Amino acid sequence: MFDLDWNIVLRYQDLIVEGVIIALRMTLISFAIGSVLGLLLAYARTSGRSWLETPATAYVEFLRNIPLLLIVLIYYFGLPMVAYKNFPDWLADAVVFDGEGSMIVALSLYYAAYLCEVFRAGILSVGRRYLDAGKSIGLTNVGVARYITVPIMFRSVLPSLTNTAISLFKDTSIAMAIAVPELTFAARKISTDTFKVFEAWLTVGAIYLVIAWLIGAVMRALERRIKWSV
Amino acid sequence: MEKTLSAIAQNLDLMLGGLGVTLVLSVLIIFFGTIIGFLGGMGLTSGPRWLKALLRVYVDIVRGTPLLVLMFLLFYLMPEFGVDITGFQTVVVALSLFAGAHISEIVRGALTGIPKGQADAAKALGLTYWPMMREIMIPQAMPAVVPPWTNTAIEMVKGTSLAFLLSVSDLLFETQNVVERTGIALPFYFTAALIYLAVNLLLSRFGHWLEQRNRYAA
Amino acid sequence: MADVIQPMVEIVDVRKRFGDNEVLKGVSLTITPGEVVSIIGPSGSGKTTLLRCINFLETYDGGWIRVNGEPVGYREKGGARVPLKEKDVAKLRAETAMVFQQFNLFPHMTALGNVTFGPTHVRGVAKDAAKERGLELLARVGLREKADSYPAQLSGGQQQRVAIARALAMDPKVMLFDEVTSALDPELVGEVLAVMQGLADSHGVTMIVVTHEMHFARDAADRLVFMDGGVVVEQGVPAAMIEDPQSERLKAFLRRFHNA
Ligand SMILES: Nc1ncnc2c1ncn2[C@@H]1O[C@H](COP(=O)(O)OP(=O)(O)O)[C@@H](O)[C@H]1O
Ligand SMILES: [Mg+2]
Repeated sequence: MFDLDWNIVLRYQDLIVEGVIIALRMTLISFAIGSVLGLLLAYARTSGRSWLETPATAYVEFLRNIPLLLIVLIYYFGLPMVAYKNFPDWLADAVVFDGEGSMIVALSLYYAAYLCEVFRAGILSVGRRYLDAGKSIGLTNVGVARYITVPIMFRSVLPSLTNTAISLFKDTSIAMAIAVPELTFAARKISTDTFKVFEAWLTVGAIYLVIAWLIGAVMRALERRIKWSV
Repeated sequence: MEKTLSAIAQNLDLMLGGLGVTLVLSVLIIFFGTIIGFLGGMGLTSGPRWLKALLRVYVDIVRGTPLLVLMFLLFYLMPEFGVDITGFQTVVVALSLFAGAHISEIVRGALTGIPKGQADAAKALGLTYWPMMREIMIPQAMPAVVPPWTNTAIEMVKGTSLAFLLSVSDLLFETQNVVERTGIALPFYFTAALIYLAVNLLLSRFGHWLEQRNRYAA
Repeated sequence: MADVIQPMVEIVDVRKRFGDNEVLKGVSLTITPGEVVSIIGPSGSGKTTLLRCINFLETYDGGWIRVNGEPVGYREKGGARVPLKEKDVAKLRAETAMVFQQFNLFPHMTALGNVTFGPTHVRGVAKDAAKERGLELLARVGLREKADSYPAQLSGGQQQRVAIARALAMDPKVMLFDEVTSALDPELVGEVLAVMQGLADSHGVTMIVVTHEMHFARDAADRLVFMDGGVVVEQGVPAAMIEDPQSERLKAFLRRFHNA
């Protein structure tokens, strides 16, 4: 029925390998930035101070309810149009990035909202009892956070963190919309250059599956290394 | 400022047309995804072994693959099988399958959480499978299904924006056209963002309403 | 010969295994219409499994169970056992009602809703008639005023009485009770046993009662069956059996009871 020609995949292996590297690079950097922002947002949302809670909540609700692709377009197309008209050049140069950079910013901002919710659930699950127990043995607030609440929180959110990391990795595919040569871009290029549609998409689909599975496996291994549970 | 406002006024109907497409896509996807998801979830919990295995493969593959890849896969592959498929149809099928996989897992989890004695009691009364599902199991699964179902529905509304990449004239596609034509970016982008936000907040409200309706004294 | 009574429940050499664990090793038991039989025996002896087999909530591997002459779960075809269709199994189950240790009331229905559900959805009884009958049955178990309460708002004893009303609403030929007081706080056991005693005294329905309540077994049952290790070890008149056990295993079992 079909002439399958898997050699095509080998012929384009550089493009594919490059695509994997870019996808993983975007995943790692965005996840790191998103986690820091998310953690800050989570503490803001649970601070009990409305001047922190309200903006943090508004940010999370806004970002979680609009498409990632729209954020990408805003940052990649919209921002330069505005920046070079209204900002001093040095500032415009500082905030405008190439495709990959823009995607990393968009992913970080978008996933910060999701990660905020993950960490918030963790913070709430730790609850007062550990806090009180920590204080009762004479720890300072910082000490309580460092030795007690933060470790317990991270342990309890690890599974959600895994799922979020996998989602983020899959969403790097959207970077192809702004011509970042990641995996999906590679698949599309191979399939339109060579018409080897099957080979291109099945290979790339399989690579995504394997990497998503690997991310899960690594995180679960990490979970197992922590012998205690909450 | 005035120029911007009049540009928005002039192009708003285009964007609303796009919104229409986005809404139709969303409704179709959530509808089909929910049907697939409930059937899939039941199959995963009480189907024969071969069906369980088949559904497990479907659910795991679809959940491990980016939505965009799924979409392009269908779009480029279908013609190879001699099936002409439009961009619109591709989006509906791909996202329905995606939503279906997620909702299958949600329903499976909720059904698994129901105490085993409930099925025993229903069977002991003489109920067959489908009435038992309809009257006993699904109603008890609903409180656990509705919140994650609502999240999935919102993800799907956002996911319809990928239609843009197949040149389906949805809200995002129309917005990008207007931006490129007028050279005005942020006001249009943020208008689009607010429209998506409004739709999804309405969907959340609907989810809350469903939650209330499906609550029983506990 | 015309007036030989057809047994209500006929269990012939029933065998059942879970993997390598043979739980029923050839159980035989015949129960006549209206009879009240109590089954006692140590934990793990297969009592629950036997009840579940009678209602075909479990399949069985050998032997036969018949309820009112109808084979349960299987039909015979050329000497081989063929599983019944789901619809026929459901029909059989509707004739035997079961009351569970954990009540298993439907949490999303009121007490009355639980009681009328079977009649309206399985028997096709009209809503109004089912409701009237349901209220009667709730009155019979002393819970008329709780008709609109949800299970979670009732005590364990009340829930179990609703479960009994739910079972009665099906007008079953046979009622199966599986340690229905074991999950109850001690002070709630009496109200449930009283309802069951009333049912037993009326002799309107055949009852098979797995229980640890020796007083109930002695006073309410027509016959006592002692199971151990997946077989029926001894059966007979309750009072006589309890006062003068024949087998060593029953003696040991009763001794443990008296000491407890
Ligand atoms: N669904 C099951 N799967 C595997 N083993 C079971 C199952 N149900 C019961 N058993 C086993 O069957 C034996 C008899 O159990 P049961 O009929 O519940 O005894 P009883 O009610 O007399 O305490 C026990 O060893 C129990 O572990
Ligand atoms: Mg038992």
